Amino acid sequence: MSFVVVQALTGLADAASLFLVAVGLSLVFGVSRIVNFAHGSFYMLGAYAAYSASAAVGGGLLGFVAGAATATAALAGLGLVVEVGLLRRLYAAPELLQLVATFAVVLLVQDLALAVWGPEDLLLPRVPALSEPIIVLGHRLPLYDFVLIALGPLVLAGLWLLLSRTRWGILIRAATEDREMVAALGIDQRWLFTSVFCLGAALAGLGGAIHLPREPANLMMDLGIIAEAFVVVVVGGMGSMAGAYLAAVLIAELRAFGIVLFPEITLVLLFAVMAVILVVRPYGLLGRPDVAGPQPSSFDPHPASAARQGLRLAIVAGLVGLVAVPLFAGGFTLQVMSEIFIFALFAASLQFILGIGGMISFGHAAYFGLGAYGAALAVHHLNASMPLALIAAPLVGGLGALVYGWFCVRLSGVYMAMLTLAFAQITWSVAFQWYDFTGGDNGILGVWPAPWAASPSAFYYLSLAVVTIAIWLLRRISAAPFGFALRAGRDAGDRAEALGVDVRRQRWLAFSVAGAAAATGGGLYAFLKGSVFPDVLAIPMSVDGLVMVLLGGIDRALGPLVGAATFTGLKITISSATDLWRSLLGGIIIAVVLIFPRGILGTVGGQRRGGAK
Amino acid sequence: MSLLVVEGLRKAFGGVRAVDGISFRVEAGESVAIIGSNGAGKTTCFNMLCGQLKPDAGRIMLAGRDIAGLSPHRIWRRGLSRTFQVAATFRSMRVRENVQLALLSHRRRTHGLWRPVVGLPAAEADALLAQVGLAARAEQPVAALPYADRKRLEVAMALANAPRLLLLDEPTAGVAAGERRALMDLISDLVRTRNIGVLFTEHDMDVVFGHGERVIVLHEGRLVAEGPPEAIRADPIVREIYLGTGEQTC
Repeated sequence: MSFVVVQALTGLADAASLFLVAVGLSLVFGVSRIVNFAHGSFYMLGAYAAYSASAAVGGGLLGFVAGAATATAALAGLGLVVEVGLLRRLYAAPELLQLVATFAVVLLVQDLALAVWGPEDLLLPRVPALSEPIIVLGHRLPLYDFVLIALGPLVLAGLWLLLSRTRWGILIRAATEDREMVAALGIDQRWLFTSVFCLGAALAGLGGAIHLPREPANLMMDLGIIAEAFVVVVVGGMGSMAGAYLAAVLIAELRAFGIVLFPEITLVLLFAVMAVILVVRPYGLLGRPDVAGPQPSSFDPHPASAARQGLRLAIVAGLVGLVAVPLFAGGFTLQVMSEIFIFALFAASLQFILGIGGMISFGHAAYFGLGAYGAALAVHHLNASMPLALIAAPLVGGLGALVYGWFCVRLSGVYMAMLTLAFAQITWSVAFQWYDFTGGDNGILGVWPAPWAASPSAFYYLSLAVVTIAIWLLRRISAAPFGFALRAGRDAGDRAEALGVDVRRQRWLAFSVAGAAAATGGGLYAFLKGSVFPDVLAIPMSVDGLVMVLLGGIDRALGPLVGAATFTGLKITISSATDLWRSLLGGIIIAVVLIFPRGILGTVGGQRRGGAK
Repeated sequence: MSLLVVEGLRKAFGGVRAVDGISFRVEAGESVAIIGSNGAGKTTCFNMLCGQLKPDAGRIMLAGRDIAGLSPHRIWRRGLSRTFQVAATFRSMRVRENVQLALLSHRRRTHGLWRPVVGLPAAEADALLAQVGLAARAEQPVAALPYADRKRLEVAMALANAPRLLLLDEPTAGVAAGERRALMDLISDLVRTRNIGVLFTEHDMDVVFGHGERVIVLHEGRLVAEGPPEAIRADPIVREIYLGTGEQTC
């Protein structure tokens, strides 16, 4: 009994910082409809800022308080910079671009934090006043846990007062309900948005600061917390503060008990609970069905491509050219090009659900990675031959997409983006932690191609053939009734339903097809690299795919190939010249989003079939 | 047996009884108008008929089978087709492709992965387009169509499954006054030759009294009057609660 109480108290204490991050995310979304990926980065910076400020004051209780205050203030300031400098230009942009732009901030902050605080974990020196033990049923709990337990409800109450008792708060709530109406009333919305964003950032900063006594500041905090915060927001209900608290407590308690009772399956447990809640209440525990009404489709769609003749000719000529490459190119070039092909398939599969299906996935790496792991595990545990392993890849990835997709396609827009990300993150964690099966972060080594495919040119031809066929199949499906029905669901969901199309099932099947296609690429990738690490499942991989699609042009047939080639080329050139690859990638993303939202092909080629608009 | 029999239909949102026990019938080949001021329950009633909302209570019998609570795509398969108040078409497609998709769906072929759409029921699609006067525009992207033509296109799509009952949600809303008559005449012709029952809501009283063979009046979620247009026009209750508001004269 005492164990239950103590574990429950620990869980409650854990919930505090998670709640602070999630509630800020939720507030910002409610008003501006932007899901801020960088919120986790604000949390991380909050922890670092608190560390430095505390050290400057000389530690102790005073140092801790000064640290928390500094973190809160500093992050409010950074929030101001990010909102005014970047987000303000994006409120009218498609939500995919907004999400990707905030991820660019994540990348910039990662380099910044590394440059300022270095790669080492920074542990806050013990604060004796806070670690004063309190005896609960014979167990010693630090005083600080009780501070945290009290903090969550206090912040919730404070926010509630702020939103219900002040003029500012009432405007915020009004803007959450109906933005146009608030604008029509003559309120300057810009500063309303800015102030909410600053408040959200400050809360995240405070969340990082108060977590510091329990865990050292480190460079992996940002993506770790953002995935959890997404789960909290989705489970609690978007825009609901009380829901955020409830869900944060639920998640933290699950973790607190899970780690003790079933350490092996804590993550799976988390996943199962989230899944059940979303099936029973698709908009979360306290959320309301889509306050904003149906989300607009991501991009202004183009009529189905008709420029067949020219395109076909270009593709055939291009393929002939690619077949000839091994005649004069060296091994390194061939390997790089094989990688480009593989990523082109990854990007094409993402483009399939994004462009035609209008579904935003921020966790597409899950399926690429499942394919890679499927192939590698088949080799490692079953001694499978390469062809068998390459067949296993799409089966594993397709099955994963079938299971995850069943939940994901129930949501749309940013809700779906968050859920896909959460699933990918769970898959990553499983691969990362399950040492016996996946090798954990040591990965799986020795996944070498069969002798007949071992030479760079043979592997090049293999990749080229598999990728060409897979992309061709995807294009074929897009032009077939299946693709049209999918597009119909994107263009006008109600209309499609009222014409007998089961839109949800159509989306689910498309999601699974895309998953299997991505996994095919993943299987090849495992053999190309000769190894698999959890990185193939991680968020940055998903974002790489999105950037490739956006770079090439979301509605362009050759977009994935052009995007993959440009992206991989840039990555190889730049990362050999500088350590600041992440910042540069962030810069590229911001440039694409702000200057070339239609991608390279869209910008160079201009509007297809001018006058159609 | 009536084509559509609605009995005791109810729907409440929170404490508001949007539709509060409505019963009526529509016969095959009959054209029935539902009128009522804003908030009378027309849209809620419509959304329940076509499956976008689940009724709290009541039965909706279409050709003898209860369709209440089914999803929109299932209801469509039972032979109930509809158009939307704001014309809903697939804006990334051409005009013909919109109708092709509806035809493919009717034949349960939306899971076809292989054969391109281009050649699939194109002739039939063109025939439907010709009936609504859009044959010349088949190749154009929908986005290039004038609004009134998009409404016509929607009618062609709604006819693709050879429906028994057609629900038209304000068929002339947003259409220039001069074109309304032509659009309604077209619809009347199409449904008469096919013996389709029609249920429509409309704010334009000329359209209501010119094309409805019977008029149903809703007020605050209840059915307050029902009858031929002349009787409704003369009904004192209707005059008081509905025409008296003065907002429907436009």
